Amino acid sequence: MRILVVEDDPILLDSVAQSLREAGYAVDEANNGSDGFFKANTWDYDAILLDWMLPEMNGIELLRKLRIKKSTPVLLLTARDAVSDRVIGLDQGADDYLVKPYSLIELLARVRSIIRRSAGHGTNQVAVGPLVIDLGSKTITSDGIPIVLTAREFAILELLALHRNKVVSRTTIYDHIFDEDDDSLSNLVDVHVSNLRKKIGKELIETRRGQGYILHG
Amino acid sequence: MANIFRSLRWRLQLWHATILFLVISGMVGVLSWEISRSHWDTIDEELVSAARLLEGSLRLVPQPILDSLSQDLAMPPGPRLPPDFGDLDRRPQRPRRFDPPGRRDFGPESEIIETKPIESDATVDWDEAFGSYSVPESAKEWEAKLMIPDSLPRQIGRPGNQLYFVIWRIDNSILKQSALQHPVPNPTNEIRNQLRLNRYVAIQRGPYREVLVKGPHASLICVGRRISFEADRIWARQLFLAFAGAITFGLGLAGGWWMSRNATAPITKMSETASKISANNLSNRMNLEGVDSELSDLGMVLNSMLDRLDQAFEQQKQFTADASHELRTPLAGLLATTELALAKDRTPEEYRKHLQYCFINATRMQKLVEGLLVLARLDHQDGSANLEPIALMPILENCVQATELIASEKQIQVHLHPISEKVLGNANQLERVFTNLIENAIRYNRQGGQVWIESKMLGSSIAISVRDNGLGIESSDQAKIMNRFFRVEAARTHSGNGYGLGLSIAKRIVDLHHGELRVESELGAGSTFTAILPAYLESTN
Repeated sequence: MRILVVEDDPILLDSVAQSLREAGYAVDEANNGSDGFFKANTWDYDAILLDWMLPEMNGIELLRKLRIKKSTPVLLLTARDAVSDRVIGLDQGADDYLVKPYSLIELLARVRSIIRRSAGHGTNQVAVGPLVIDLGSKTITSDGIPIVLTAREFAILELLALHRNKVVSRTTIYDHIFDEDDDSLSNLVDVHVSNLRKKIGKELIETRRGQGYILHG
Repeated sequence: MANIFRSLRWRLQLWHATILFLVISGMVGVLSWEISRSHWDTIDEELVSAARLLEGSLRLVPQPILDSLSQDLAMPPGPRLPPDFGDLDRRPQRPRRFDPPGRRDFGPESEIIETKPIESDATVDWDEAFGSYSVPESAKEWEAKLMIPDSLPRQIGRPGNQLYFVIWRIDNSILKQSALQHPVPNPTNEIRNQLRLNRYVAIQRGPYREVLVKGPHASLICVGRRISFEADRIWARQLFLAFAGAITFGLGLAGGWWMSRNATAPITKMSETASKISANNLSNRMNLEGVDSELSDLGMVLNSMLDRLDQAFEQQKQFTADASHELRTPLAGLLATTELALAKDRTPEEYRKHLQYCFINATRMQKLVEGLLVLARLDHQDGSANLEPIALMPILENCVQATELIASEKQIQVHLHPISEKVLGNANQLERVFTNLIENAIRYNRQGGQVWIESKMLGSSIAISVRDNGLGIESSDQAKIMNRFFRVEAARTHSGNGYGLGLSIAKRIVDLHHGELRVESELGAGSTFTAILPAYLESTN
């Protein structure tokens, strides 16, 4: 899962980004509105954390321009706590609204929630065949037996599970599990998928040659 | 009840009613006086013309016959009355039915004397009165001529209102009299005197009207009749006038009520609007469309007051929102970094980093709180407190020293030109002003830039300017730059240290010194901030 954080306060940006990384997300950072808009418009992020008061282009303007083209889930993070502000934020296209100061645990929960909802799932538990994937605790069981996955493997499985029965291209997988600072080779995706197959069973993930992977469930 | 008398509408109505009453009653009074006078004049003229007929007949009678006409001869059938009526006083007074104007008391029964100046062209149409006249031969025939002829136009004597007459000789002996309807007293000397000047004298005796004119041979002719019919008519007209006046007054009152209601309606509407305006809803304004100019002036004053109030509330709201935003951001950073650090075991380097973040955020908050406190204190301070003559140079030297560190970081040169003048001010506060201005000049400057501090006398004030050749300020931002928490885009991007309070504090301090803080700037060329302060002149003190 790849997330963009747009925040002008360097300390807050660093803390939020690190916290997200530790939770297993690939994180891109932007410290002003125009940089944030460029990135948000270029990549298909799984979620965007957006500050309202930003230099160069404020968060609401960014959101308005982004919504012309993309429906990426956006969590608005701001110190503006007036009800009218929340209404403006949500009406301009934000999926959720969190007022500063906030707890990182709540922030992570809300990020999970907007990603899950944008993929059309109501709960954190996603069942695929014998597998039960818990997006909250990042655990997976096969017929009740826990399976241990690495963060990258879990991220690939989560992506495939949220788009199950649909072909997910290798590029999409690559874009969603590595952040902009990663310059890993693209065949790393194949390595991770093959490791994943060994752990959860070969027949679940099908390879469509020249198209990508598909998770049947 | 007190409310009614304090009500503008009721008071308007009261004034209106008073004025209306005076005007209408005055009009009715004048009109009824005019009506009755014209009536009396007509009656008098009728009586006079009858008297003229008698006078004409009298002139034709030869003198000896006139002298020989005895009272006995003259007495026609009818009640005989003594020539002297000394006992009239004792008779009960009849109630007066009318009081025509211009009266003068003459005796117990003679109430009115009306006089008319002698007119030269007062003529009587004799031919009409005496169509066929033949000269009589005997005294008896002569006497028979001395009558008021029946051919006199009928309107004079209505049935029951027959004319009567008395003719006196010079010695007040009666020459001839007709059947009298009431005792007629002999004429007094005063009446004779008045007749020398006037054409006739009119006397009102109860319901009778009498007119006296001079006859030939110093005789005196009195013609009279009962005028109760006319008096009733005049009375009826006066009543009608009074009635019409009352109706007009009533209509006027209703009109006044309508008028006062219309005049006070906009006031009522304005007060209704005003009552709807509260601290939470200051956006309502009075609708001044179609309101009279006096009230619309008042409404405009109220509206502009509301605008200012609204603005003040809006500014206050904005200030609170900005202050909370500025406080929440470092607080959010502080909480996030500590939460992250505590989430799991970290290396000492990581702990150090998080502690560093905590320190930076805590320092930011401390500076912000301090700035807010300074502003709050300055807001509650009124002017002219603790202002004393102080030399500027040491203050400016301190300021330059305090900013030396950040200046050297950007290799910026600060030029302080010697200033010998003193100002009336507070040293600590002024130091804050100039430290702020110099800091800004350094912070928003380019690497290796320059800052100049100069002074200039402007009359009794001294202008101290801090000039830089740095980034400059966009003209659209120049007006807002001293607003609390306002930061230009560059300030937000280039410096994590500003809160947008420095210039508002500086402005507030300069204002408290009865001075002025000005800014001139050109984007890319640099800015000049000038504080104009009242100079302390040794000679005047």
